[in-house]
Parts: sequence; structure tokens; C-alpha cells
Amino acid sequence: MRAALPPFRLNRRHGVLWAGAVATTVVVAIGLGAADITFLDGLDAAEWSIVSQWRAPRIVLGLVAGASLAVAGAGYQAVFRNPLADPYLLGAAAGAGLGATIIFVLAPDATPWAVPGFAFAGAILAVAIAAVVGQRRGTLGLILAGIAISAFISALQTFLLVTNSPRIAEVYSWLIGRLSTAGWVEPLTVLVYVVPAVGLLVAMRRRLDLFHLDDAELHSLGIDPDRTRLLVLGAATLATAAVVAAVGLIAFVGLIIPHASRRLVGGSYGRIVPISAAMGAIFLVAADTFARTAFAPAELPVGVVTALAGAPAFIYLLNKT
Amino acid sequence: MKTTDVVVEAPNGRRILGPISVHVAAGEWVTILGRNGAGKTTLCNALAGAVRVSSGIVECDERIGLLSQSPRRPYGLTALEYALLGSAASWRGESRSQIERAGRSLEACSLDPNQDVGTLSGGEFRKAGIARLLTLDPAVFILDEPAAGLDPHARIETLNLLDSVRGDRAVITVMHDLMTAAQFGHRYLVMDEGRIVAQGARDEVMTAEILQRAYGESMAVIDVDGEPVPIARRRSEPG
Repeated sequence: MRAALPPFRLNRRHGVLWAGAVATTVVVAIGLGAADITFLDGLDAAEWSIVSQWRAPRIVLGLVAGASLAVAGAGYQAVFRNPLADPYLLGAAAGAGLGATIIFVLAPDATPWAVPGFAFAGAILAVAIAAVVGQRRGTLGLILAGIAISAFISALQTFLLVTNSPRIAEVYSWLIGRLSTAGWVEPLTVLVYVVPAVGLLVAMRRRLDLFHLDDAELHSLGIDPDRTRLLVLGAATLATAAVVAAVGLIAFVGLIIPHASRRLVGGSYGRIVPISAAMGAIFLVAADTFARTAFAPAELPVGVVTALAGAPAFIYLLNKT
Repeated sequence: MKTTDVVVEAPNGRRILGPISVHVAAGEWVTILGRNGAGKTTLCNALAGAVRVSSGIVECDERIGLLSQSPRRPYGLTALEYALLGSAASWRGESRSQIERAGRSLEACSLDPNQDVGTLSGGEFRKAGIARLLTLDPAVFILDEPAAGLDPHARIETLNLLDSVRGDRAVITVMHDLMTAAQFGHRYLVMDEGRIVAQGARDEVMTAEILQRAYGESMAVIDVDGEPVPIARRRSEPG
């Protein structure tokens, strides 16, 4: 018999490779943009301000948002034991959408922080309601409660929009997701929430592997699957809400990235979680770099790029599985 | 391990199990029989701490290993990783000695530690489940229909394996195939409507009268070389 590989772990070569890929993506993304910047002859003051106040915070936001959505998606897929789960499943997207719409429509002159603030609160609230309503009926109850609450909230949002149609364009452009930043405030604010939430998911990645067993088997090991599930969903939802509040509803990252990671490194979340983080960060930064350079000086919303690239990739993966 | 007057109720208050009092001694193999819906799985889960007991006491000082009726089949895990699931439940993950233990368990079950469990046959996957229990090293094995869905040879092979690796552990199994069940078990519990309606050694339980009461009128017991062989017979007249 061959010697067994180290279980539940990434081999070191994979780790180095993916860290290198993230670094390369960052360097390329900083170099590309409307202003032509070459690093070889040093940076003058104007170039330095473009890089430090414009491109760098946007790239950091992309890295953080992409990694967080992908890791949150991996967490959702693990505890629901379903590779088609994503972090919007329990109503985070609908709740954030309603929260943002309320500000756009009812208080358009509110401080710039009102939209992300209400989006964040809406996402958390929607998932919390789904958890309270659906928890007693197990995972299926949770999912069904999430679907029902999403439908209810989306209907409220649609009602607000059709009765205030002049605001539709603004709301819509927020919903589709974009990584525009004004300096370092957004990325740093997101980090405040994401560091503990994603940190917990990364620390718990080995626990996620326990969900390969069924709930009865987990109970027999002295592990309460419902409590573990709520902890994972809570952390994943906190990260998702913080990201959605800052960048809008970016589609597909939380769904296809964990799926793609699984195809690359197998079924252990000990491997899927770190690979998802790297792959999500690369995917979102690459998509955003394309979004801001392909039709420069015009910009595509990055949500359009992730969905346009993500949907065919997802169908390809589905057919290969 | 033992239970005293254990009762399990559905959320609507309907009683689905009990009251049941059983005692399982160390080293004993107890086989649970009974028709579909008789409460066999609920009893297993109650013993394993996997369902909330409404009243009564489950006493067990030792660790329990449970293999469910239809365990989930993960894809993209090696047999070694599958065998380690649950043993590595701590935050630190698995220790070197646990990995070695898992390797030995897989060897005892003749499985390649590097094979993807998604590619195992049904019989091999049952063996992987037994390897997982063995790695866990509990005092009691509870296996809910470990032979379900297997061909006759694989059924016997799986239970032979279980018997050879169990050492001095107690084993509790649910079995539907009575011909197989008759060959594995020191003591049999016959369940109906959530209660134990008969129990005893093989020759005491494998009688037409008890089996007909537990399963229905088609049950019969034939004699093969002095061994009772329980079978279900078709109606002699069509229609």
C-alpha cells in the first residue's frame, strides 16, 4: 500500500502556488488602469496617489470581498451538505436589497453611510428571521424559511420601487454590485467585520468536514449539529452582510468558487476553505480589473462581469460533475 | 450500557418509542428485529444520544460509535480521511497516533487509504464505515442495518468483518435480512410499535409464532441441518 497523503490538508506546493497567484493578480491589477503606470522607472507623486488612493484600496476591497464571499459560500455548502447552497440562500441578498432600497427611496439625502448601514442590517435581519422561523424543522426548514422570507422581502422592495420609479436606476446599479471606493474607508470598514467572521470559518474548517457525517452520527460523537450549523451560518452571514453592504450583490462568487475548489482539491473543507479564499480573491480582483479597463474610461459593474463569466463556468462545472 | 423506561415522543407529543429498558453487556452482540416503522432506528438513535429522550434514562459510561442506516457518501475524501471523520473532532485536528490508528483500521478492513470513498463499491463503503468506527475506538458499536443493499455474500462478509474486528466491544445492530440476522447475535430484541415484544437467544426468538406476530402471517421457520432458518413465504393461491 502507498503511504497515505496528509489528511484534510493542502500540500505545501499548492499553498505556495496559490499565494503566488494572489500576489501576481495584485501586481497586474495595480499596473492596469486608465492611467498608464510603469513601475520600472519609479513613481512620481501623481502616479503614487493614483496607486495608493485609488487602485490599492479598490484591489484590497476586491480581495477581501471575493475571499469572504467564497469562504462564506463554502461554509453554507458544508453545513447544508449541498454544493448548490450559496451565502444568499437564507435571505441575505433580499434583506440587503430592501435595506438599501429603503434609503434610496425614502431618504435619498441621508448620509452616504446610510445605504451600507441599512443593507448590512437588512441582510442580518432577514437571515436571523429565517433562522428563528425555520430552525425547528432542520436544514430543509431553514432553507424553505429563507426562500419564503426572500420572496416576501423582494416583494416589499419591488413595491417600494414601482411606487418610486425615479429611483430605480440608482437602486439597480447598487444591486448589481460594484467595487467603487473612496479611499480606504470601505475596505477598512469591511475588514472590521470580515476578519473575525472569516477568521472563525477558517479556524472551523476542520469542523466543517464533520458534516460529511449525518446529524445522528454527529450527535453520537457529542457534537450538536444544529448549534454548529448556526455558528457557521452566523459567521458566514456576518461576513456576507459586511461585503454586500460595501459592494452590492455580487453574483456567483459564493456559489462557483467553493464548487471549483472542490473539483481541484477534493471534498475536504480543510482544503476547500483556503483554496476558496485564494480563488475568490483572484476571481473578483480579475473581474473588477476587466470591468474597469475593458471599456475605459467607462466602467462595467463588476457584478455583470462575475455573472457573465460565472454562469457559463458554473454550467460547465455542473456538466462535468 | 443500559436504558431504563426510555420514551421518545414526536414533536406533536405522539409516543414513537418506549417505554424500553434494555441492558447490553460488554462483549455482547444484540440484534434488533422488527417490521418497518417498529422503532428500531429510533432506539439506536436514543442509545447513541442522537434523539432527545422524553423520559427515562440512557446510561453509558463509554464512548459510542454510530453508523447510520444510510450513511452519507462524501466524494473527494480519501478512505483515510473518511476513517478519521469524528476522531478528529477537536479543533486541533487529528494526532499522529489517530492517523496511524486509522491506517491500521483500514488495513483490517482491506481498504486502500488513498482511494476516494466516492469510488468504493457499496460493500467496500460499508467496510469504510466500520473502519471509521474502529478508528473512533468506542466501547459500543451501534450499526443501523449495516448490511442493507448488499448482495448475500457481501452481507455476510461485512458482518464477518464486524465480528472479527470488534474485539471485546458490545455490538448493537438492526437487521432486516433474517437469514443473515440468525447468524449474528447473542441476543435478539423483537420490536413492534415502539416496544420490545420479545427477546432472547436465537432459538427462542426465531419461531414462526414470534416472527408472525412481529412481521405478519407470511413468516415461517424451516429447519436446515438443525438450524432455524426464518423465511417469508408467498401466498399459495394467487390473488
